[in-house]
This record gives sequence, structure tokens and C-alpha cells, in this order.
Amino acid sequence: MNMRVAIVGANGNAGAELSIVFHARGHDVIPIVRNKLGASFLETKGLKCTVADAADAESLSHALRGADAVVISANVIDDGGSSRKSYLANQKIIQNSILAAPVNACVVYFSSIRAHSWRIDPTTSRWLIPPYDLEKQWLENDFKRFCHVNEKNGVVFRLGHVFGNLQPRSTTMQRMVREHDVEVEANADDASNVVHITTICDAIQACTEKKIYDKTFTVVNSPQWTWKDVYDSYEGTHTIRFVGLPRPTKKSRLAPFLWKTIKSLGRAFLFIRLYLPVAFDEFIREKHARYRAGQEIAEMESRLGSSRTKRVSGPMYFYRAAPGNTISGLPDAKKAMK
Amino acid sequence: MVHQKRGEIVMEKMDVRIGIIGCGKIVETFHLPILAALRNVRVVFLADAVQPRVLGKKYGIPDFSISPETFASLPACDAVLLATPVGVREKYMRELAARKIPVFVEKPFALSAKQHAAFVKANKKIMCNYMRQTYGNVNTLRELVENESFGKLKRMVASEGGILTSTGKSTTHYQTDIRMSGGGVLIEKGCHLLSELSHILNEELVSVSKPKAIYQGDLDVDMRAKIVARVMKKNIPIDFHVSTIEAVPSCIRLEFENAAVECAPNSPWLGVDVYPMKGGSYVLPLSTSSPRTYTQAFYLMWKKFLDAVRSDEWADVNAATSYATTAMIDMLYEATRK
Repeated sequence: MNMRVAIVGANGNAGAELSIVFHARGHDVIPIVRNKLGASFLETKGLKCTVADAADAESLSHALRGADAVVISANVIDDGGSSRKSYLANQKIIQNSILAAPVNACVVYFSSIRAHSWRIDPTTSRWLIPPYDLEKQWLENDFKRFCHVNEKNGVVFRLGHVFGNLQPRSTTMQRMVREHDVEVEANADDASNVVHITTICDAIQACTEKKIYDKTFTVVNSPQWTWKDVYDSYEGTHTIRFVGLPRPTKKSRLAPFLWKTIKSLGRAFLFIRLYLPVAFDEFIREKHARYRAGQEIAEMESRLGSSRTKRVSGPMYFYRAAPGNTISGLPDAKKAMK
Repeated sequence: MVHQKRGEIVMEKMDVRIGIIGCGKIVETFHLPILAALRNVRVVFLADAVQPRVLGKKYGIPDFSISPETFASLPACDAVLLATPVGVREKYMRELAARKIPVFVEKPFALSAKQHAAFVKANKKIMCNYMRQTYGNVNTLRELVENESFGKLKRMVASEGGILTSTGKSTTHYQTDIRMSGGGVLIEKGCHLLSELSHILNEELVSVSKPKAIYQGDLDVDMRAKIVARVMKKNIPIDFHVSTIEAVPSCIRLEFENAAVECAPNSPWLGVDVYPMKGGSYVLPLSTSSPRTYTQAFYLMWKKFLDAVRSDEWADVNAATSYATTAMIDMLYEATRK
């Protein structure tokens, strides 16, 4: 079925590649960008962009006319993170996109698997939820509320780690694998929570065609890829070695922090050790010894790696498989990528 | 998009299980913090003649009191760190060899050359923690000898020690009992120095002459001798001296045709001083892959051992356990003990 797909925030990483893939599949794409500078790249790919400010409902309503699907891909960040300011700006974008969307359109909001927060990330505290995770949860609730109030058909996509030819993470990895042997600090068989742009396209198409609304979906490759699958998908003749996960450092932060704080405050404050119970003092010293051993080993490892071997690590390798409902019947990502 | 032929994807074997027999200071200070920091390594038991409850509780590892007779009751493991005093090692080595368990042995390796040969004959999957063999300065000296960078080697001087005052050890510490320790300064400190010499000279320590020792009771406190090494088909004399009663400089000095070079045998962070015959001096810096701290040196030894456990490929056992070191110690005690 040929669709008319409007993408709000089409000059973002995901939005741009989404526009290109939909266009390549023969759909009618309306990339919406905030200014004409953001239109340059897409127009070199043969796409005609619409300049409209998502913060302005009237400007957006002209742009979204006739759309079968409206994808809210835009996301504002404040100084690299989430803040009240960014939340209010994102809320406005969602509200205006919903208001401007045609009545029968399927409105898709791009959230993130980070909305699952501590359920997928074992290094995240259940009690101190990171601001990005919290913002995504609030915006999902706002999206559902606005859809209900305005009687629009909405669906939330909690996107996994987005991979694709234009995605920075993918291009960095592809270049690394082409030029170096790579050591990955991950378990090869762990769920990667990766979603390829083609799978996102398939998911949008499925919800629009089958009129799947009022749901929240975890959107990852179908079937779920392991990290071995991810690295196998990159072109390259070098060796990729999975060395397993490093020990999570969450629990060890307090004691080294205490020890370093005491030491850094100068000799004057070391008197406190005379008052500390022996067991507590030994506890701090032992934890610091482990922390210091870890630091020295990490420093050694960074010198040991030859220029041909690069080490890759990151929080996403710790994540558990993202829970939640998934969209059934999506094509296999490997076939779709080809 | 053409998919290039993939290089190898390697997955590290999960979780090597390590058991530790002998839980003294060296295990607490170095081995346990390092093992706690390593991925894919799990310490599954701590065992000592006196049950190491405190250490077990600190690290959350099951602890046991052990004798060779109760060995079978220990949890299963893939490899063992044997850090008991050398005098009580024999029965454990026999048990571990019978079970074909790889062993990482703390220095010194054995009480005598005969015992050393018996140990390595029974178990080829064995390594001794002569960690100074990883030091950058020691390996630089080895390269200078191999490459004859400053001409042919003519003679060497190796000494270490200093007046030992406070020891930090208890009245009944194993080093006060020759049945446990195997000897005094020669086997305790001299073995390190000899292991460095044997590494520099490719295990070619051949004979001793003019040995002279000072004993207090049955423990040697000063040992000096002329050791002969075989280098490029030539006999090279080494003036060897270790002491706890004399302020002996800690130094390994090599005299070549065109220069003399020196390094501090117990300082992995220092480079090699060069004194050309024509005058002046300069320092050869350390390579990027050499350790800068004791922890890093221990780590490199563990890395070598764990790689061997995982791949089941073992280096020449005489070099891995420095048979030449044990042979030299044996010769010196043979010549000086009444």
C-alpha cells in the first residue's frame, strides 16, 4: 500500500534515514524541517522538504495535510541532556503534531527503550531514575493524553538503539571494523536491543495499514539480534573478539569516593581514621584497593592494545532484552536490509 | 551492497573458575583485587590452613580450611592459584596434577631442583608468578643482549637488598621457619633477582663459584657468589649478591663492549640507564606495553595464565616456571649449608 508519511524532525539522524528509506520504497514522503538549512541533505536525495516549525500548530497543520502517518521524530535536548526546558519544548512538539495531524492518520511517537529505565539497565537505580528516562515516560503519557483528548489515533514506539547507514553509531562501528581488529566488551549472545531503520519503517507501515492504535510497543529488530548478529552485519575482514562484560562499577563507587574525598581533603582530615571503627576503615581501604586495581588494569589495557586493535565498550552492552509488547509479523531485519 | 568475507568472530570462554589455596598477604594485596576486576573470571573458593573467614566475607567468596587430605571437599574449579609457603606445597601439587588442574604458583616455585623437576613432570599446565619478568626495563636488557646492541656482553652485576629492620611480620610468620620458607634472603628475595637474570639470559645460568653466605640460625641473611651464564657460546661471569644485613644497591648492571647499562630490578616504572664507553649517559624509556606498577605486572602474568587456561596451549614449562632460578638457588644452598 502506498502511504503518505509525514516526518516531523526529518533532519534528525533517524528522521532523515527514515525519509530516504520510505522514499526508496515508493511512498509519498513529507519531510518536515524547521529551517531550510536542515533541508539540504534530503533534497540531494531527491526529497522535497517542507519548512515548518513544530512549535507553531498552524504552520504544521498545512504541512501534515493528507498524511496517512505522522511520525514525531523530533526531540529537543537542553545542553546535551534533559531539563524542564527540553521537556516543555518536546511536549509542545507532540501537542502541535497531534493537533495538526489529519483525523484518520496514525500518529507515531518516537520514544526510547530508556523509558523502561532500570528494567533494562542494571546499572540504573530504581530509586534515582535518570532525567532522560523520566522525560521519556512523561512525554509518552502526554502523547497518550493529547491523542485521547483530541480523538486522534496514536501509538508509542519505544525504539531500541537505532542502526542504519546514516546513523552515527553504525558509521563509527563500520569504519572501526573495516580498519581494525576490534575487542568488544560485551557478551556475544546477549540481546542487543538494536533496531534497524528498515524495521522502524516496517513497524510504521504495519500500524498504519492494520490501524493498530492506543498501544505502546518496544521496537527492536525482529527477531531480536544478538551483539554477534550486529557485528556480523558490518563489512570487514578484521577479527572481532567478544571479551565479555566488565564488572559493573555501580556498587563500588561509594567507598572509593569516600576514600578519595578523605585523602583529597588533605592530611588534616585523615585524623578521622582514628575515630572510624577498624572494620569500617578496612572496608573502605579494601574497596579502594579493588577500585585502584581496576584503574591500573584499565590503564595497562589501554596501552596494550596495538594500533590495529580497538576496544569498544558502552552502557548499551549491559542492557537486558527490552521488555514490553512488540509488533508481530514484521519482516526479518536481515532480509529487509538487503 | 557486497558483503566482504568476514574475519574471525571470537567469543571468549565464559567465566574461568579460580580456586585459591593459601590466602596470605600477597593474595589479599594483589591477587584478589586483580581477580575481582577481571571479566570472565570467578573466584570460587578461598582455602588456607586457617580458614580465611574475614577475606571470604570481604569478597563474598566461600572460604574453607584445608589440608591435602581434605582437598576433595573443595568446590570444582578450572584453575588454582597456589600461594602456600613453598615448604608445604608438595602434596597440593600432587593432588592438582592428579586432577589435571592448571596451577598458577606463587614464587619461589620449589624447594629444590629435584622437586621442581618432579612438579613440572607431573603437571605441564603450570606457571610461576615471577612477575618481574614482565618489567619493561628487564625486557629491554634482554633485547640488548639478544641484539648485541652495544656489542658483546662481557660481565654482569646483580644485587639487591638492604638492611632489614622492621619486617611487619608476626613471631610465627612462615618466613621464620625454614621448613615452610625453604630458606632466607636467597629464596625469598634472591629468587626474584635470579628470575630476572634467567629471563635476560634466556635461562642460560650454568654454574656457581666462590659462594659465600652468612647464616643466622638456619636462615641465610647474606648470599654472594660468582654465577656463570652461557651467552652466545661464551661464559659470562655475574657478581651476585643479596642481603638483609648490608646496604647493597638494588641494581642489575650489564657491561657490554661499548657501553654499560643498568636498571633497578624492583622498579617497573623506571627505564634503563645507558653509560657509553666514550662518556655521557642517557635513559632508554619503557615500551608502551610494559607495566608501570606491581599490580600491572601481576595482571600481565594473570593474563598469560588465563590465556593458556582458555586456549589449553602451554608454553615450555621450564621457562614458565624458571627452572634455572630453582637450580641456581639449589646450587647455592648446597654449597653454603653445613
